[in-house]
Amino acid sequence: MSTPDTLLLLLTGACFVALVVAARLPVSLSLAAASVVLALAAGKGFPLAHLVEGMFSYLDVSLVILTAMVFMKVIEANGLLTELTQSLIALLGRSRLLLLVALTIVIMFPGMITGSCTASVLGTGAIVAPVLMRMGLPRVTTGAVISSAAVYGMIAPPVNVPVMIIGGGIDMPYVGFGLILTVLTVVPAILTTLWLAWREIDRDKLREVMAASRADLRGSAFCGGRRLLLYLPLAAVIVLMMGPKSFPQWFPDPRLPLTFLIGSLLGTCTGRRVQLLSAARGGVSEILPVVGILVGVGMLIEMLTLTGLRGAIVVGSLAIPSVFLFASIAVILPLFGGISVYGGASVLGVPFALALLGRNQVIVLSALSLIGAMGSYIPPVAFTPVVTAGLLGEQYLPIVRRCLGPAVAAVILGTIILIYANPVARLFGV
Amino acid sequence: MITVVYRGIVAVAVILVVAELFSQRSLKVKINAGLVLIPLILRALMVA
Amino acid sequence: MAFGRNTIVSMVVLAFALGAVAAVIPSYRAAEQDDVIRRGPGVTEVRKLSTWFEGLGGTNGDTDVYVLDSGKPGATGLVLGGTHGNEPAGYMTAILIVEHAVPTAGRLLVIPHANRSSVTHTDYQEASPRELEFQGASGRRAFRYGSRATNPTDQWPDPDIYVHAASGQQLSGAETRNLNRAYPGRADGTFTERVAYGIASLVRSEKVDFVVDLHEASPEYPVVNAIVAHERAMPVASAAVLNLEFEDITIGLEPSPKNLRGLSHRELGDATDALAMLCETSNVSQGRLRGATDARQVIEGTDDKYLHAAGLGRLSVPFDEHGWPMKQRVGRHAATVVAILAAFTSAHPDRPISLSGLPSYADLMAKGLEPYL
Repeated sequence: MSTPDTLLLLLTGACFVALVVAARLPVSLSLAAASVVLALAAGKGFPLAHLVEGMFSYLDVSLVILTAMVFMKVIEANGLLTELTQSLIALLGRSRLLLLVALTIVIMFPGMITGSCTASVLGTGAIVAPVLMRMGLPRVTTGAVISSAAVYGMIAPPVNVPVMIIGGGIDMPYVGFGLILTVLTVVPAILTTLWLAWREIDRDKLREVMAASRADLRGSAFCGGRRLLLYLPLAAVIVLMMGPKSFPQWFPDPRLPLTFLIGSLLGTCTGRRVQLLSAARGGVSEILPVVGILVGVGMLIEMLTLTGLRGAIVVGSLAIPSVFLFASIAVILPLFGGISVYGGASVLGVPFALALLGRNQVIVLSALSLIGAMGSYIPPVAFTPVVTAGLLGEQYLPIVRRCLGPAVAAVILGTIILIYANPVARLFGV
Repeated sequence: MITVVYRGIVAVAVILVVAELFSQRSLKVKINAGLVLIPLILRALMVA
Repeated sequence: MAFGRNTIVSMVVLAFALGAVAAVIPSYRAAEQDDVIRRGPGVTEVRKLSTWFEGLGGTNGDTDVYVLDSGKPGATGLVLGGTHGNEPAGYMTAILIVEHAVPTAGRLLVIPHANRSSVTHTDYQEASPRELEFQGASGRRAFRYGSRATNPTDQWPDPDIYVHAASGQQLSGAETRNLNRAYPGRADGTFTERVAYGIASLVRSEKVDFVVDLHEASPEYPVVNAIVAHERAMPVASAAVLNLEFEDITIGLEPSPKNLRGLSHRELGDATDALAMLCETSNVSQGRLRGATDARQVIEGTDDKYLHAAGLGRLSVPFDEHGWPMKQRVGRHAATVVAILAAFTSAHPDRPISLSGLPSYADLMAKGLEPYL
């Protein structure tokens, strides 16, 4: 990287850190301010049109998290969340292993269907969180379990957006990834949950909670038809998520925001009475800092592109001698996730995939998405832990710290698979 | 049709974010809300 | 009524947000204005794409179709520029043909902006310039620089995943607005699918013999400076490659992949009788390795980061300090179109098609694009 590029990058980073740490500005405003400083320092003036354009980058994701948060608030207020928690514990509480495996899959599920870790955290993560905490898990461990399962859900089949983004950049159809992605996500996700939670579950407490849950369910205000009705919003959301993917030719795709809104509206008519407006305002209030971060990230990447720093980072990564190529992928791809995982897939994933053209591309893209997804934990953005922390009312950095060990293990696994892509491909028949 | 529905969703989001802007006392929270509003308003107007 | 301090601060913040919105609206509105394309001596008629598919009438998908008819019997060719609004050599070549070419046999149809919506906006995070400016022979000429995809104001929201209707192939959601993943299109589909359907309908109704879809690709992309041809188009495309060799233009020939669906060279080749081909030149301004992004970079085609990457052996094309300027990219595309016409005529002497008046590759390299604008 040339000296001016390095200086610009250092200036931007220093500005961001100073604003977050010293000035205690929110991450969103610090990102926005660092973007403006970068543009000014690079002699680009105050490029308002570009800054605004960058703000649009994650508009659709922002709508998803806004509406998902409203949905969560509604099912919390109408009693569905409590009911679900008790049912899950009553059903699975007999075995620690069974419970943890099942809860991991439950958290992953919305992410698998939608490709969005937010859908996992705010959808089923919100349902599972009270279950984990009632089992005796501390809040931070609960956050770590939800974050890690959500990150694996995001890259688990059938929808893995980073692979689609990289595939789009090298004209490769999204075909043949099902088996390898299942193995690369479901197994590590379960192992990660066990790593994080196994020892922290209090077995006596679990037995007590299971008995209490069963008693609560028997005494629940919702029984028979009313209980079925209570589950209607969740059933509707699941059907609206799965339908378009299962029957794309005839099932209309409402997309996620409308799906969550329909779920929220149904939630106001089932269960306890809910004030939709106050639920919506509460949801927006809690999640607005995260939406702001997405706006700031978009602005920063637009400025990195405008000033040429984006290219400098990519070329700098490719300039690392090929013997260190795998090491640089293992380090740089997750680091870029500190700004944006999708951004990392597009900006770095595509050039790295091109640099590895001699290897089986299905395996390469799957492994790159696994490595890149671990960038979800990297500050300053640390998107998944930040959303999870917002859900739990917890600081995000302790959650990040808990996730780091398993994430490093996943990066090592991904790198080994990259190195042995062709033998792995033969093993999986792809 | 779906576009009209989504314009409606964005318009509602604009109203909720404006309400948040006015109800919070922290200036940082207000500026964050102002930042978020810019793309939301432009999309609600279908300018961008 | 007195406002409290909190309300006043809120109003100031809101005013700033609204001010930013008001400040950028003019640039978005300006991007909706069509570029001026002059009717050259060879243009016999200008029609709208809605002529072939009424469903596009009154939408941003209803693009101009220039008819260059020699009045003599022969083949009908279709040149598509602007499938992707961020690949300017494609539409600049189409504009050059419209403004200068005179057909001498057969009939050529030219669509400079195949996806008209794609030049009304730019891609997020790409910091693209809004406009390319040239000091042409007739004064200042400006052409919009756009996006790879349809404007969200014409088609939104995107699905999580895009399922290509004809094949069920899955791609990332944003590809739902990519015209070159939407062929053969659907009459009742999305905006982009309807544009694709309109173009496929034109190809069928006008009995188009061959389609040339003009694109650009980043220098690191494996398929660049190449013709991608449907298997039925291979003989004509390979003869065109040989014709270009005589002009010292080295160009690759790639078969259209059968498993990559929705692209013009695959679907128009499969769904119509036309021979479908797609041409790529090397454009730094759409690559991920590029340095500071601006209109100069698009036009001059030079870039320090790409120069560095070339030294690392990371590019699919030769790259030196001269880069790949617009005049060279347009020159290659124009020469390729002429070579394809010649190759088609050689293969089908009963259906000749030819042009005159188009500047040659050597002319463009020597004088640049400006004298022809």
